[in-house]
Amino acid sequence: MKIFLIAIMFFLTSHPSLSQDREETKIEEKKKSSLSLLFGGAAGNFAIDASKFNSIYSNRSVSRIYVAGIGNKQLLLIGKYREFYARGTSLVQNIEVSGKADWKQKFYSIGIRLLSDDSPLYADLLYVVTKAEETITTNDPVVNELTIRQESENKGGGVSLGVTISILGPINIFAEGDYSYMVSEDRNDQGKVIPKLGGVCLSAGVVIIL
Amino acid sequence: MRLLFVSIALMMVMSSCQKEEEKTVAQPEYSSLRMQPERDSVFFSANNETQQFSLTGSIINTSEITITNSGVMTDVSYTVRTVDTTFLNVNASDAQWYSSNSAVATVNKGLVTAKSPGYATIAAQIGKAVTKPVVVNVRTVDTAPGLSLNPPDVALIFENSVSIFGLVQKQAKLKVTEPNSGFSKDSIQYQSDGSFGLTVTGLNQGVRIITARATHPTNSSLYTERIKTVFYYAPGSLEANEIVGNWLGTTLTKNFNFKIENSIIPTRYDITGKMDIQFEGVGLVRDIDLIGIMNSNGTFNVALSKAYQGFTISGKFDGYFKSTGTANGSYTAQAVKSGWPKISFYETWTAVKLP
Repeated sequence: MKIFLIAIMFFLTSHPSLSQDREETKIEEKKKSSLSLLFGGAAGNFAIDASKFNSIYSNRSVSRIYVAGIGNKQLLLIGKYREFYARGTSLVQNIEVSGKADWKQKFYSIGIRLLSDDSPLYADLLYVVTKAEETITTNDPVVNELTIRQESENKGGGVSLGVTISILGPINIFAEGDYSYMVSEDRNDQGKVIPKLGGVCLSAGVVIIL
Repeated sequence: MRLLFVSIALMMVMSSCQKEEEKTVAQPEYSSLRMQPERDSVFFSANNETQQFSLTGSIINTSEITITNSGVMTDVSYTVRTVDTTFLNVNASDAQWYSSNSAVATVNKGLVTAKSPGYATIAAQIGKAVTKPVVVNVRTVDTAPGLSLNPPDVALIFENSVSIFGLVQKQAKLKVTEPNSGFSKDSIQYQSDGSFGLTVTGLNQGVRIITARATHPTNSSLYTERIKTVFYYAPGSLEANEIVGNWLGTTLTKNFNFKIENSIIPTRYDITGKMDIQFEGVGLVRDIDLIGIMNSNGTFNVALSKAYQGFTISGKFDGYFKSTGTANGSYTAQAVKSGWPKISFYETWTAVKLP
């Protein structure tokens, strides 16, 4: 944790070179109001921690991410919502029929965003709840005894590091890396422990900062 | 030296014993044994008459396959049990034979010898497998000879002839008659074990009673009679048409419906219907087609068929009518798909005609 805080401080203080125009704009904005609003969307690639995931799900969707925040130029209260879908082939044994698997996962995050006047970098510290739903079945035929749906809810923390670049007025583009780690343990209907469902998400998008 | 000699002798004896053990052929573990003749009872004359009984054994190989489907968060499985049955002829000397009353009949390696009048039960055993007992009925020469007819005792037919089968005590004279049509056949020939079969022809429509009589070879006052009743209704007659219509079938697990219609073949009836069957591992297969005909001797020849999610559902639906209002039988169905274990299902059924 100590290293992590040092890293955040480093990022927030290590980019002093902004253009003169931008410095002047920021100063003017500060003068106008200290309240800042943020909302935007992004698309990204999510790599889940569960090791078995990659052997089953080959067809993953691009994660859709929505973000909103309120605060000032140094600290924002921020909320994030992320959806992730994947399709693949479940592992069927001892019978000649192909498996089918569907994965739906949603992340609900709330936390703070640390900003710096002197740097385009930011860091988010987040509390994360993720809800996942998996359905496995078979193809041609659909075997009822081999079909099951399982839901899971995990809670944990997350951290994001990103960079924001203003392109036009309040419109900014941003790129960030997000890592979420689930600490709660959940068990499936058969009583087996479900793997942690956090992971790394790399995303880029547009955010409007008012 | 003496010790050496004793040791060598001992080793030779042990070696010899070992070879004897190797020569021993292990008996298969039979799950069931069937005795031939495959009858409830057999007739003997009390004059040291003999008959060789034989055995057939079945070996059941059972295997289980657990089929699983796994995802990231969960997995699901079920187990299919497959049963393969093999029938083998068994050497009669390999079995232990039993007679419940050796004063009436003895048995030695399957050879049954009648000793005195009375009843004795004969059975055989190998390991845990035991045959269904056969009752040996030893009769004196001065009693009525034994006679039995194969079921059903009552049947519905749509042609003017019917086949009957049965068992008669050897040396008896066998006669079959049907008075309404004037059918009468004397001195009917039978097999060495007393089994016989013949066709009664020229029947008139209506309820007909066929009588089989076994008469003592020398004393005609000693005889046994057995009766088989047939309902003979010519196709198209009022009574025959009473079977045309909708029927409700019942098994232990389900109800089903079938319909009987007049066929384009004059002496046949078309049977069509639907049935649901719950196959383990496949699920409930609905609306399996029953298609076939009802034969002129009253029996069914109906097939089950359906294509279901890559499976081929097939089977045979058997039965016969006991009157124009009732019927019963059994069916066997199986679900087959490449790469899957064969899944079979068997049930008996009864049916009544719906008003």
